[in-house]
Amino acid sequence: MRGLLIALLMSAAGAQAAVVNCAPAPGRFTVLLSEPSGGALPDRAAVERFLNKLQFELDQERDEHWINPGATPVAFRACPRRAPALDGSEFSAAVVEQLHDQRVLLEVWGVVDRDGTPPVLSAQMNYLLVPLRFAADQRETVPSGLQRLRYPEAGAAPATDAVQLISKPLDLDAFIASALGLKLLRERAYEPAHANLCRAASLLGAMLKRPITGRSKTELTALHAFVQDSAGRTLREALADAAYPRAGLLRLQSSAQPCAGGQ
Amino acid sequence: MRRPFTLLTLLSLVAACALPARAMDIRACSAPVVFRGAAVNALVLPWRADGATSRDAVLSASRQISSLAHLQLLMAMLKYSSVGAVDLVAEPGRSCDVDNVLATVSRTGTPTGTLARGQAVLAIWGRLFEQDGELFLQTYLRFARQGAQGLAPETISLDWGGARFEAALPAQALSFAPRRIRLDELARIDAASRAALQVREQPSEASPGVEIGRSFHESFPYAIVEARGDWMRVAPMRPGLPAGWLRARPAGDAADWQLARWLPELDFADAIAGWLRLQVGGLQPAERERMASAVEAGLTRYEQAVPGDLAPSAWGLGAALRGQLAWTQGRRAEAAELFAKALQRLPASAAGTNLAAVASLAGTKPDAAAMGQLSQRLLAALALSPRDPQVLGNLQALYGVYAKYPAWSPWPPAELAERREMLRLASGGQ
Repeated sequence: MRGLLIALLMSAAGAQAAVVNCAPAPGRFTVLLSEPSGGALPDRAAVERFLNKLQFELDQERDEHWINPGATPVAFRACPRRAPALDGSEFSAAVVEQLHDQRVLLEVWGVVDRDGTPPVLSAQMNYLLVPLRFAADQRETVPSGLQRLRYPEAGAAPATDAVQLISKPLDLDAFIASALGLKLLRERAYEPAHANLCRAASLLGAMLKRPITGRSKTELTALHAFVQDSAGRTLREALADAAYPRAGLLRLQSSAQPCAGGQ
Repeated sequence: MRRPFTLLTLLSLVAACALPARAMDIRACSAPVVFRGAAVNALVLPWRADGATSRDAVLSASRQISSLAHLQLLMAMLKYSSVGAVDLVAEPGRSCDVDNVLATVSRTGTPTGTLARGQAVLAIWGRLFEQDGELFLQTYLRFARQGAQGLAPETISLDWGGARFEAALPAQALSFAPRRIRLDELARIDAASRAALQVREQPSEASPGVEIGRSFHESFPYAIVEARGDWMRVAPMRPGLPAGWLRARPAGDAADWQLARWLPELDFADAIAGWLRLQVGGLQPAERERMASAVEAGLTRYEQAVPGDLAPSAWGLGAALRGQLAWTQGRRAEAAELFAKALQRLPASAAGTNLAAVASLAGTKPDAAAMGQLSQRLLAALALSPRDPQVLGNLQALYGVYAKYPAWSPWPPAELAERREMLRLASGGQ
């Protein structure tokens, strides 16, 4: 009994240690890239190589500015030794509130395996949309803040590289735009909130046309609907807010069809 | 001691234009030039080393890649005639600022080293990261033509319902999917590529040749004085260099020293150069056809090398470039289909939404239903990017038509007037 208790305590301590702090980019919206588990990354060196490559691929900083000058800058931070459990159970209300206060939009982690003969890479990636989980913790009626996607999708060519397997530009853009739109709506920054929510609605709509099945599809469908509703809510709140300018362009949109014909 | 970042070089070859010798001088990113006589200029900026663990090898690779990219892009572009390419190098301790480079070459009122109105420029650059002897490369591209007051967006326009609608390409800048290449592979490609680059006495592979461009530190100033098929007769613009015939890279050449095999972005850049050359114009119909085929071949090579889900922006832009060529040749229905395809790849692009909306009007009779559909699509574009000037302009044009034909308008006159006023203010009061 005592041994079991010690084991449980150790396992709890291990779980806490798995979400060690990871400093976000000061003053910027941040996406945290936490350690994945799984047989494709058998040791620490492999995990660190994976995180370094992933950060290189995603964190484009000044080049992004030269390519897309109007975009909201989002920093990507690799988080060595931060390895949340696959079910996201360590993300307590306190942890989420801290992330939310630090302007973290998204945390990405998962499991990457290499199985079969010849060996084939596969992954389940988790995307925690921090503003959505924060809203759930405030007892607001929102869908799950945790999105789970499996790679490769049906019909996709097998990947030989774990980073290539999981770094799908549209998927990340969709989740970032969703999280950013919801965060900006909470801050009453109506116009950028609306633009990001409509952007997210378009991207999530495109993702739903892919062969995504099961729980992933259900969760994604719920997020898509919520993002569209939130775009409508943005319009209603902007129009009801006396501080919103009389010539504000959101007045051209209709809350019944908040992203117009773009869905 | 080798000092790749202090020995600034300008590797240049320019077709069909006489240039003052000083235009061939060593250039840094802080003082970029273009060849004023060339219809299309390519500016090749460094692939910057990020997070490098083995600094010397990576810095050397960084220089090697941009030098090779310059050389091979130039050889590929020769088939478009009237092209120039400049290899820009960062000064010690500094990085190249793409905005500054493009602003410098597009400033007006400067007669040399800058773009003349209608001429085009593409800038290609990247960053790289080394891990375990393998380089991960990410490449970026921007392109534009010089307008009256600097670089201008590429647009199509359509007169419809008594109003003029405009749409720009979904993007004139993009980041490519990251690629990888081993350091030892890069060294082999570099050596083989330079060995293959020979000036020959006659326009034939059998003719004796002299290697040029031996090192990525050396200057390489030549002008093209004659063309025969793939072969160009080049004249050195500095004493002591060999004169003779050089073979342009034939479309589809996949020799194993071609960097494009590892970096297919160079094929995409080649296609962009051809597309820009077509926009600049002044070509005979047969030349236009040949260049349009080369553009298609470049885009196809890229798409065969990189799947669409890894490179949605490049695939989307590729579809839009094809659509624009179809549009300018009067194949409007085909163009509209291609623009719709571009939008499928770039579902959150306001410019792409606007482009697809405007193109879909071609051949459509203006009536209340068509106007209503256009209104929805333009509002969708506005929702994605509330300050897009083309979208704002098109909504103003549409509401102008509604004002003229109130029966088609979904809003009563007072509300329509309010909406028009909002758009007017958002467009800077025009």
